[in-house]
Amino acid sequence: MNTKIQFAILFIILIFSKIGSSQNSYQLGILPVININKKLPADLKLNFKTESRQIICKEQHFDLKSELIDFSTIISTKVGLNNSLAGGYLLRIKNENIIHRLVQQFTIIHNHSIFRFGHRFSSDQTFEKESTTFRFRYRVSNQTPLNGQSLNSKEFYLKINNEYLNSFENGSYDLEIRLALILGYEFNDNNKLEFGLENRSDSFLSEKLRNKSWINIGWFIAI
Amino acid sequence: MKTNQSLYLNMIIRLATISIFILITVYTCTAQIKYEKEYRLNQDDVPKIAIEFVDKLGFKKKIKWYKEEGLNNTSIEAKTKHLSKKYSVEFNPKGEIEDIEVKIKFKEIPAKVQQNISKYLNNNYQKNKICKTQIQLSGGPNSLIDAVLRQNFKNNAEVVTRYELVVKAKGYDKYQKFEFLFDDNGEMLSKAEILLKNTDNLEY
Repeated sequence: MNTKIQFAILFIILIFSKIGSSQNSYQLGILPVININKKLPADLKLNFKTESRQIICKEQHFDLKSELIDFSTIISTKVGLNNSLAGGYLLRIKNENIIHRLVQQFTIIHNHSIFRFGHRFSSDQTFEKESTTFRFRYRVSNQTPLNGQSLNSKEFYLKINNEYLNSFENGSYDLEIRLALILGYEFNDNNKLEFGLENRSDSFLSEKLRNKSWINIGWFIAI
Repeated sequence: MKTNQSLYLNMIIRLATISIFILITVYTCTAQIKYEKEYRLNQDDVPKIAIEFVDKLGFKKKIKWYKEEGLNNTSIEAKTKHLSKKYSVEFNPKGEIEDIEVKIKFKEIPAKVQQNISKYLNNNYQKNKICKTQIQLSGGPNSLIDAVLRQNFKNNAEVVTRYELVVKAKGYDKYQKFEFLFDDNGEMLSKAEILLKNTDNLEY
């Protein structure tokens, strides 16, 4: 393994240790995601995603439990070589309740000589028994190969995600900011495994800021 | 409280260690399979003849060496920036020069050649956008050195000048990316579709 990969692994471990030892109010969990994509004729693409949230500890106490599980299907169409428009539906199972969500998104991918940037503008509407939440989101992602100028099969890469979520529910507004540092490995162009840490902070406008950290394990497959 | 904290710290470290172990194991087990890749090379691993050639080009900035391994061919590339332009010098595995590519702006191409290239693209594609333009120089080693030192990239008896363009285009039903090679009159010599990399992990 080259120095960049060793440095990336060390950096992620250091962040883990730092968060574990310095936060006073803190929630930690695991976020496993399986993302399956299928290309369809005429520049259409289907995305199936399942994501679950397993909480490990809450407020400094072990609290091992499964919080929720999501299943989503999104269909996208290309509106340019690197731009796509998508819409879909998400089903969430949380505490035996079923939650429905509609998702719309527009993505732009920029390829630079070494870096690759992804911009995702999305909106969603979550329908629960008592209320409906409207969110408007923007996420910027950067992917950098850890060897050479372009990402090839059997190589590691570093990915950074930064997302801003504006949510409106029953007349109140909240902002959530997400930041993820991820180490990825490309088995081949259609098969990638990612591992990293994601921090989510919300309730910026209320008295108590909430921080949640997720150990992110993602598997992206194209069939 | 202290015990709880150290317990979950231990757990995080264990999880991180196991995950890293899995990644490394997968990497080691699959490292023997042949595949296409491009990676950095130490100058010590570059054939001497290639280093000597690049030394004669008068580059002042750091040279980065790369090796491109395909299923059918392998090449060595030296990349640098010289006089505000990006250079890519390509060699075969023995270190013999193949060509020199200089990144330029499309408008730097002679007007007549620009017109012919644009005419070709507009006639063949509903929409098109030129993403990258390079002058490609090929010929004998001494002629190429002379062309770079004099910054004279015009086609002549000793140096063949071509234009390599990366173009985003939309045909009848889908968007594609192509690499075109045009001669010094703007006549299309070859065309190859660039397979777009999967970007699902940046979209979802």
